[in-house]
Amino acid sequence: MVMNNQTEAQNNMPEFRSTFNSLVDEEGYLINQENLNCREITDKCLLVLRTSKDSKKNNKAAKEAFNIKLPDSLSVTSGENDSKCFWISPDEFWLLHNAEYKASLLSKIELLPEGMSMTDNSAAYGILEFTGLSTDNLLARWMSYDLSGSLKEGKVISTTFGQAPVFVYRENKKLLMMIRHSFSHYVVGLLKDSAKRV
Amino acid sequence: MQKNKAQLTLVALGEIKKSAQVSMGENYLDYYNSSQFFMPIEILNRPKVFIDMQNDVTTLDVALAIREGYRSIEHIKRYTAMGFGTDQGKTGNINGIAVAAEFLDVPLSEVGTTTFRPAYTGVDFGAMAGREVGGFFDPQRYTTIHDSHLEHGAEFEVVGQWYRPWYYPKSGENIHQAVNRECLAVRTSLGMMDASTLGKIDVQGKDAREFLSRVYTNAWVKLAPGSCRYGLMCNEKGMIIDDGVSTCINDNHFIMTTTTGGAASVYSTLEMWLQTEWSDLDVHLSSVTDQFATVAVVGPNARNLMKALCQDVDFERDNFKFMQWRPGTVCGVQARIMRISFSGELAYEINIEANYGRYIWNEIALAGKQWNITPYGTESMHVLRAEKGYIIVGQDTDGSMTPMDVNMNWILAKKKLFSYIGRRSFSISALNSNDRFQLVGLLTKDADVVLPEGSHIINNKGSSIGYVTSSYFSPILRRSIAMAQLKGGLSKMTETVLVKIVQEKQGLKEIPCEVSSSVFYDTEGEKVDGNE
Repeated sequence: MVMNNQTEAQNNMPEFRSTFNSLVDEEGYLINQENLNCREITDKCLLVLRTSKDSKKNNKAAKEAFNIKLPDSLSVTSGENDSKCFWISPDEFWLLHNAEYKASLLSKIELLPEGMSMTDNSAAYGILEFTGLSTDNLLARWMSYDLSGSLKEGKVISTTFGQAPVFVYRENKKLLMMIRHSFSHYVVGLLKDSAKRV
Repeated sequence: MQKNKAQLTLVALGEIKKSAQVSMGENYLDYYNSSQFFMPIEILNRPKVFIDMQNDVTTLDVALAIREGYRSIEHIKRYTAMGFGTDQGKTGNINGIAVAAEFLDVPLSEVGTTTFRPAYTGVDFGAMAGREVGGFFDPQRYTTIHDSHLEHGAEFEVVGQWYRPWYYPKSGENIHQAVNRECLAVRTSLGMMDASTLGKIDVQGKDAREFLSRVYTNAWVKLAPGSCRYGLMCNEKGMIIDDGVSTCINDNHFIMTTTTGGAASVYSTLEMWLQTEWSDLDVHLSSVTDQFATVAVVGPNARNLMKALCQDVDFERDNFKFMQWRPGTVCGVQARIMRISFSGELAYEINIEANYGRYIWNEIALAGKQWNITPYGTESMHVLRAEKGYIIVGQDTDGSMTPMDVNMNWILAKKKLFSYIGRRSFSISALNSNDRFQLVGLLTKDADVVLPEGSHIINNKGSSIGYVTSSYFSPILRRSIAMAQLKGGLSKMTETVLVKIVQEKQGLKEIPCEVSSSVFYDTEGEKVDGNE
């Protein structure tokens, strides 16, 4: 599918538009205040990798097809070109990569052995990046998980933000949260509400 | 040794009769001011003194437990069931422990406590409810086309947390006028609808086909890649729980659609079957509801519009048949185009990556202007599908309807190797009775009277023999139509029944209606191919 971030009005290209678009300020931030920034990252693709009961076979296939190691429980592994693999459940892993590699990754489905499958879910999730010392404080109000105490770099967790299911991980002192696009207005509403109180 | 009041009660247990009660005397105050928990029966003037309000445990139950020889408070708890309620003993058991102490004539501290579970201290309702959160109380889910709906002035209705366009009123229009306009546009020219909220489940694996055959009542073995099929899903009791169209991408890959409100529960149910009963099947499910935006273009001019929007697909009737899908490029965006219809009209559903939903919607609106394309909402969708007699699970079914009850025997496969969920229950005689509630159509004798949904159909004794499930004014038929569950309805065709309704100012009224087929419009199904 076509993937770019241009606006259609300028060059007659299809407009790629996130559900967060109407919620950002003039500088493209969802939240922009002292010690706290939040913006959406749109240049990633997200593929759902489902595995078989044979972990050796799974690891071998992941290595051969994507050159990445499947992570252990609640963990994240990194591969070349800034790719990441998240443990979601015992037979489900998410591959996060730069959008430009999507077609290439999807073509690897042919290499997967019986019992493994792959689904493109790039448009289903938005990724929010939080920076600043107040991040944990911002999220604590609506998140049941104890980010400050338990979320270390290299770990991924699934939890809820308000009532929205989200996935959270840390990377280079940033916190990243993956959210279903249909919940974007709800989640951003909660974030902005919380930001007022930080 | 002298017995205390409690122990005397224990002795007298079984002899206390209501008739033996005496009036409450001044002794009551003595007890009230003392530290004792046990209130003698004759003081309270009540045969039953409840100490655990959740499980109806009385002081006499505690006495009975002790008479039976139980001494440990853990045993007394289990004998009486006190503290088994949601308070987990934190309220009722305090009374019970104290009363037991008095019966046993030991200090309260010697009786000990049962195992309390959270909450350990009283929690007020305010704390449980949380702070006032206004609009955040319930999540609001929007499709990627939401902003365009706002620009079109849509009114919304909530369906399973999703905000779906209900209807798009033009200046000065009420809901009825807007819906009539939208329905007529679809029937006579072209309409467009945001169908993104339908649940979508990606089904992959070498046993995907077999899996679908087990969860749907009809056959999936021969569905070819490039084709779509409607499926009806039942639970083990044979009752309809969901329906939708599934698309065969290839032999190991299908996309299943579910109802909007049923998406989460269907996904959970299917995972439950896979993980607990059919773990031998090589099948993986992934929710892709948010991955795709879906725009339905519907009406006699739908083919003309698609030809204008998409040049790499052959839309000719014989080359792109009803219940088929094609990959194509719509306004520069790769799409899966399905020729399926929930209105009986020629229709295409364009599925694109959700991020292009708003763009495609706007492009379709622009390209469709020459056919006066009209966005329509869920209310018009309901009218259009009711005209064709298509059911909505959860509206025309209520969890107690089998496929036979909704006159859909045609969708029950007879030759599946493995069978399917619900089939065994269909052999229960009660499910094959002719006296069950069955789906029929109702035509009011006065064509202008629209029956309120939920109204009861009554017999000549005034007893209910059914109820109206869907009811609308059909602009194309220029009369009201209704669907109803009627006892033995399929054998009552052309009979007249009475529907009891409440009319403003006129009060209760019995409306005569003719029982009919639930297919009111285009009974031969000729419109689905368009006007050619």
